[in-house]
Amino acid sequence: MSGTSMAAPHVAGVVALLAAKQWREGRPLSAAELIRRIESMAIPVPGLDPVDVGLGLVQSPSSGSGKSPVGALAKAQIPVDRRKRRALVHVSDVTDSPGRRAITLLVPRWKEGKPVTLDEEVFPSDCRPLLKKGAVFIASVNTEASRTEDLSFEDLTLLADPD
Amino acid sequence: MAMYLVLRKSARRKATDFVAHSPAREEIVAEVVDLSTRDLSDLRRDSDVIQVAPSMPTQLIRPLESASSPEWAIPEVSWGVEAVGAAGSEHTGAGVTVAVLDTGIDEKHPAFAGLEIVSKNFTDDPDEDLNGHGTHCAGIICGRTTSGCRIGVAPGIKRALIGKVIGERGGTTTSLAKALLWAYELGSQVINMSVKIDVNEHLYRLAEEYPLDLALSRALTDYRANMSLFDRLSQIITEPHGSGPGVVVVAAAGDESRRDVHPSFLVPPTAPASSERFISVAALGMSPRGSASPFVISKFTNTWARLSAPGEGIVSAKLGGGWQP
Repeated sequence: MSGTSMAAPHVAGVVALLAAKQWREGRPLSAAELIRRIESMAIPVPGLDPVDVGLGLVQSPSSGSGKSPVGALAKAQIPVDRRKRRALVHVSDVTDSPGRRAITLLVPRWKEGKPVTLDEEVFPSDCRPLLKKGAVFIASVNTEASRTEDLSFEDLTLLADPD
Repeated sequence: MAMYLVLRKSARRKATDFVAHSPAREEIVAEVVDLSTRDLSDLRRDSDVIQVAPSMPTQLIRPLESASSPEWAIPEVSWGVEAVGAAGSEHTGAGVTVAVLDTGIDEKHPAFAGLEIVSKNFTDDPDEDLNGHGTHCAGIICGRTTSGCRIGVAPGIKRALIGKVIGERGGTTTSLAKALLWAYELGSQVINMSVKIDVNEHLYRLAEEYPLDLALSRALTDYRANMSLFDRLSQIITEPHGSGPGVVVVAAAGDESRRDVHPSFLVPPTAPASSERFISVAALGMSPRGSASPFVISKFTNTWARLSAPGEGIVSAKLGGGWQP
């Protein structure tokens, strides 16, 4: 089915995940704190108007295990909004030239939403086959990174595979 | 005489009342009373009365059936569960009580096996979910993975409060307010609802009795009174109280926009989703391959929602068993 009726339960489910996490860690949150936390964890969606999407796509609390469905690990130096722990990364183009493949990415709130082109070499080899035009990743941001200008991604979770 | 919803400090709590607590630890009850104009003016002078609003009809925020393409396949994991990052999370919602205020639930569906369901019918209709909407929504929140298909964001939830607030002919603001207090008092940490005040229906009913201009003024005044009441209720139930931390209310923002007809045909969140402390939610769809953005905003989605989440082509539990795309 399609509707905001289907969207709301995803948020309710994520609130439950966060409430359970906090409870398990012995730091239960009040409703007001849960609301604040859920809103701060949302990630902006590239190309869409905040009037439409509000603070962005709701996100579950991270497991902290570093596991992801594809397990791909990238160490590409991609700066993102460092207030966010996660970012949506969209592969908008892939161009091949002799001896070199260039990956064009769109990352919201970075470079004023302009695309950035990186050499495929900056990504680890196990991750490269996933970098197809139209692929969408959610990347966890390494908040441990000391350099504020170019935080690196810890892992990439494949969200949409164009195939 | 007409039916009114009265939010009051409970000096005179009845056994049937559901009670919330204000930050000052006062008990708050929602009463439904049949009032004449004279009673109403007495009530407005009563210092224990917080808000009074006439009962208005409500209706389901009605989803669109997904165009079921022939190649539709049962997914291993619903794209919505993936997109909110729940598939990779070690958390499952274990220990949390959720409330779904909707059309009821198909308790026998395998997706709810092992779930403790506490249900209450706030309508005059039969207890069962005759629509399928409530079953679908509950599946998205806490449906178990069955036959290799994960539909639930938080499949570890063990206890669900299912308040049926919408029947065949809709519901009322009075029953919705009662259901919110019921879910709050029974200890839910999160409440989900997809209900809107049906202003049109209210106007039609008034227009049978009054001239149109008068009916319209009355409808708007009644709507405003209800919005104030739900604003107040939203503040009260999200505050911590004696026995609990308060409840997070998540509400569908509404499907009244018509972006496909004209870009300016936009509607802000419907009431009571627009209430001060409720989280209103917009719907996203997946972009066609090769698009500039990974998601599209759903053409029907109301604007100015606080958050967004997947809301197109969502597979979940179907009435009677199986999945509905």
